[in-house]
Amino acid sequence: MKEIIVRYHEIALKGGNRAMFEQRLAANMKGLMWRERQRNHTVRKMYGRLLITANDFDDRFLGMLALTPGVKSFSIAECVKTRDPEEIAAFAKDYFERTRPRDRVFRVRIRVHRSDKHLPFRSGELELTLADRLLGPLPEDSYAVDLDHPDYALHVDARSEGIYLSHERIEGVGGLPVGVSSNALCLLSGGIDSPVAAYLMMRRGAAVDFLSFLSPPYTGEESEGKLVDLAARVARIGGKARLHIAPFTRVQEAIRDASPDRFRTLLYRRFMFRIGNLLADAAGYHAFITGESLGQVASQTVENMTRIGSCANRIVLRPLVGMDKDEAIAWARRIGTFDLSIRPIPDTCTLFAPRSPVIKARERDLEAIEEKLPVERLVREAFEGIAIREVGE
Amino acid sequence: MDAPFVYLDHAASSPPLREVRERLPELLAASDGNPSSAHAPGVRARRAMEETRERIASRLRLGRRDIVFTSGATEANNLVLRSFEERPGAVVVSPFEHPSIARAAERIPASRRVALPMRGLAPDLDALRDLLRSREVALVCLMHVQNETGLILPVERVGALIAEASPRTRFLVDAVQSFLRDPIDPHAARIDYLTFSGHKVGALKGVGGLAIREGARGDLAPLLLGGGQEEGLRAGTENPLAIASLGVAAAAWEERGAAWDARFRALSALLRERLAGLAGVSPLPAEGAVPRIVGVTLRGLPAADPVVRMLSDAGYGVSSGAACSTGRPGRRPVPSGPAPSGEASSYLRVSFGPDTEEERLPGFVDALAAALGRAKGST
Repeated sequence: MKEIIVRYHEIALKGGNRAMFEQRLAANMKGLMWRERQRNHTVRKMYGRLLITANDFDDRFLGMLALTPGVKSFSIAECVKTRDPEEIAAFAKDYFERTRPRDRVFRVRIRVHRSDKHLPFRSGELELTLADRLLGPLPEDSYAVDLDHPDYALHVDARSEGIYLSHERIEGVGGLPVGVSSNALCLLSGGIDSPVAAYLMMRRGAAVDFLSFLSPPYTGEESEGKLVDLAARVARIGGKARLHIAPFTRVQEAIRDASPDRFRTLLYRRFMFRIGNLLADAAGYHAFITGESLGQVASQTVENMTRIGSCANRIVLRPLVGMDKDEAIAWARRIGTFDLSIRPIPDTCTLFAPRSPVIKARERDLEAIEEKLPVERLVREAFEGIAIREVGE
Repeated sequence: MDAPFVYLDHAASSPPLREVRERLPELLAASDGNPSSAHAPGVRARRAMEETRERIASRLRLGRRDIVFTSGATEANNLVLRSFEERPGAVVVSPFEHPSIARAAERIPASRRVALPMRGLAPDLDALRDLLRSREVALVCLMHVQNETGLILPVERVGALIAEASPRTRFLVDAVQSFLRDPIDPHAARIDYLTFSGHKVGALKGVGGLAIREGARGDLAPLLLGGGQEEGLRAGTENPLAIASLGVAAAAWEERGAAWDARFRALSALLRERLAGLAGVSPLPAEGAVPRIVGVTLRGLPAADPVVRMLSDAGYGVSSGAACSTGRPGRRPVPSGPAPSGEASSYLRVSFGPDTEEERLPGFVDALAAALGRAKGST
């Protein structure tokens, strides 16, 4: 059997929240194992750690674990159930011989962490014993002890449940487990930014569902497929989600026919929030999430974000607002949405897109156009036409 | 309101001809065995296949051995291009080619890959002659009828030029859009490899092939290795059902092709006449193109896909550019209409088949007008 010791962000724990935090992370990891078809795994709580047990772990599962919000780091470990230092040393010797570098002079550290203080040895004693047994027989020029920058760090976690040996630590994404914060609705386009925004808010504990807009016949079936793929990819990390798809054709045609082209993108987005308000009221979302980044495109100036955001009746979380495009792209690559986002499929937001959009729209200009439109009817019809797709299962 | 769908996309795929549909049970029964087997069902399957081979061979005035069946024209084009990948000598590729030639040609090292010289929208024959004389050219690729525009390309003249200037150069003609429909003589046009497809002429999908002129076979190497079918050029059990359906389609075109062609001319003329009344719509010139394909430039509209979907909702099937390259910006030469340069425009292709009815065209033009009105927001 192999085990994964999962560490989480203890600094984020506050007294009474700790149990809830641990339960949520454990439940999320069970969900991840189910989605990744790792059906023979089990997950258990230990003091300050979670432990996943299985015959073996595949790289894909480990990759997903590293992306799971709340996971600070993890190590693949082997366990021996004994309290006898001699047996521990024999097991450690075997483990060391199987895993140590053999092709180079390596910098080694051996560290024992005794979290069960009832064990019949002290950490320092066991460290010395292990150093003697493991390193003693090696030629002196084949290794160097380096406590600060080892490239092979043997870690012995001595617990009441057993003695866990590991030598590699894989960094996780950190943050909080999905579900410990309020749920939120991400406005998902086919672009690079919005899936990243959804993920970053999941990393702060939000449970995220999605709202997208399609304008058939201007957009084809492949546009819906792209949205489903993107939402499903994010949901594969964070757990099952709902993708709401609202019909946007009538809204866009009405705006196109009533508005000079430079205002269209802003007006589309104001309508998207108005439709989102009805959905959030009906389904109980507490926040919106968008992928907006300050100054990235014309609709994302402070002025225009104000004009758009003023139509939302809930807080709009914009985790990318201070990011460069390169940073957003790096996140998109890391969570696996980049290749999906760059598929050249027409996207609702660029429909009838202006050649030179307004940079700083005035509220009264937008209102003057909206006065000519049956806003309430258009919004209600789009809301009532929403189709729901379950993704990430 | 349950009007039948009006299919005007025969250049993408032409639904099986009535003759093919009627004979399907019989053709299916004849294709039970493996054509390589010695028993009766095998012999029947082989016979069904060989009838098609003979019919195509005699139409092209070639021998039976010169016809090789493949899964389609893409495979046939690849078979030729890939055979020239590592051979010395340049490969000349026209800008009109289908991706099954253009993409396969990209594997040839850039130093040996040469674009066919052009003058405006037509091959520059003088420059080609100079090219053939100045360097060793292994292969020239030129489509017969362009799939997006219906433009007829001068394969006879290019073939004659090759014969005169560089007799050892091989000549590949992708005849997918002309096969069985427009006259082509591989001997007169000195075509070494002529590729064709079944489902563009009302046979089943899954069959195509190439016709090889005597002496040119030796330059080909098979893509697949296996049981040595098709004289060793295309391993794998043949598809007797689809191949037999191609034979039936070929017979139908022999018998009725002239009448159908007259229909296509009438359809083309009627469609052009009707389109003339629509603002922002310019059909490509009828001269120099086959009447089955009417290319239409849509001015002031950056993308034709929404119009295609609106037309589909209204019961009419056409395509934007070539169906094979949907979603990719076309770089192939399309004669432009009178659109002022710089204005957004897009491209629609209407293509007729034997079952296209004249009475449907006015309805199509009305639906196109409505779609354009909606797409441009002029309502």
